[in-house]
Amino acid sequence: MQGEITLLIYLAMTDSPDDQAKFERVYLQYRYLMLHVAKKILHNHQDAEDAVHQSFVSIIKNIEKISAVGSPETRSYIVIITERKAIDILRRNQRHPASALDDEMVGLDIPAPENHPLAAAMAKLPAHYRQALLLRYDNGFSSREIASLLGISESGVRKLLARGKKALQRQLEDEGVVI
Amino acid sequence: MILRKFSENELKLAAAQVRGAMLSSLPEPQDCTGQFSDEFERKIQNLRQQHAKKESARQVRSRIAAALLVILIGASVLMTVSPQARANVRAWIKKTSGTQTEYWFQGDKGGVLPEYELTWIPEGFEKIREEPFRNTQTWVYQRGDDETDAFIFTYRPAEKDSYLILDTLGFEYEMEIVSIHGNYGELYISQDETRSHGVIWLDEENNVAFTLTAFLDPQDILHIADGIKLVN
Repeated sequence: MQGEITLLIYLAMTDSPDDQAKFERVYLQYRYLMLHVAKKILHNHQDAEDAVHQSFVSIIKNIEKISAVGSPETRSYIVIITERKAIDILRRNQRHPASALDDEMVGLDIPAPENHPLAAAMAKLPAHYRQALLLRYDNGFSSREIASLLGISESGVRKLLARGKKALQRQLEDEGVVI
Repeated sequence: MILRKFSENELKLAAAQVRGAMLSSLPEPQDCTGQFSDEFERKIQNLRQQHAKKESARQVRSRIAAALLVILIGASVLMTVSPQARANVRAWIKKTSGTQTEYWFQGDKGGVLPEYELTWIPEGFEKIREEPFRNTQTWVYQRGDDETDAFIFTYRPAEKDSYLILDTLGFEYEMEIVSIHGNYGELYISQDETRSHGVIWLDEENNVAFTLTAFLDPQDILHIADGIKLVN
């Protein structure tokens, strides 16, 4: 179904934002995009549905973090959550733990922005680093908030951010790029 | 070798670029289609109910009761209506899935939205807010300072390919067919005192769809609906 939600109506007044209605808007606007993202990673409809469901679990728990449902930042945030949940399922489904997933290979393939070496390097980072960096520097979430969104510890988030930045530094150094 | 440190601003700018590139590599949300299994829809419904109950408990604790019946007004869409959908009235087609009922309007496109007025409202209520949004009028009435003592009235063109979604969020309602100025309507009566009632009806002659939702007695809701008149 294609469509656009133009207005939400709440049947009772509350003195707090109506998170249920916001969730409905997010659900209706993004569910098929989320399925698309999950299928790109998982190549399996059932697993993709699981990823989308788990993404909505995270989204509804953190619904207050969404202000403008239709904004690019919100869309990005939802894509990142879905990508993360899809990769988690991919790892869980590994039949042979010894052959670990190549961190560099899983996740969305993001085209490198042109004329922006740091952005190009960030786009090429392994998904878990890139996700943490985007949630932190584009969406503006704190480490605690990112931990809640991704379902990991706060110290885990801090490590991802630190290692992600180091990976950026090394990548640019290796490529001989001066910023 | 000392590796260069990036400033916050540099990282922000880079992250914004990557966000743009990521989103550009994906289709627009409105261009995505798909199909979810019944099992998935059930899980999402459970999620809604659990969250609604938590929210309800939280808000009751903070003295305000939460909304139950959620009506989402949709704009123009492209969709093939399911052949299983049954028409209850000439000018809309209903499709129910889980807790959601979609009302797909069949009226003519274009035209100016007529102006209406409420000629009867329960004592003590006054209009506190008008929220015109694109082609939908939304009026909020409240009695005193109690935000739960309120009702919401909306009306919009019932144009073909536009829709409205009514979602009970899994709470129990009884639906009664009603007649408002001779027009077919559906009254949803909540079975839970913390949840509001709602009515949706269609003025086929003027091609307008109405909704009214309130914590009022259903008879008062119908009385308000009966009092809605065209202005000139």
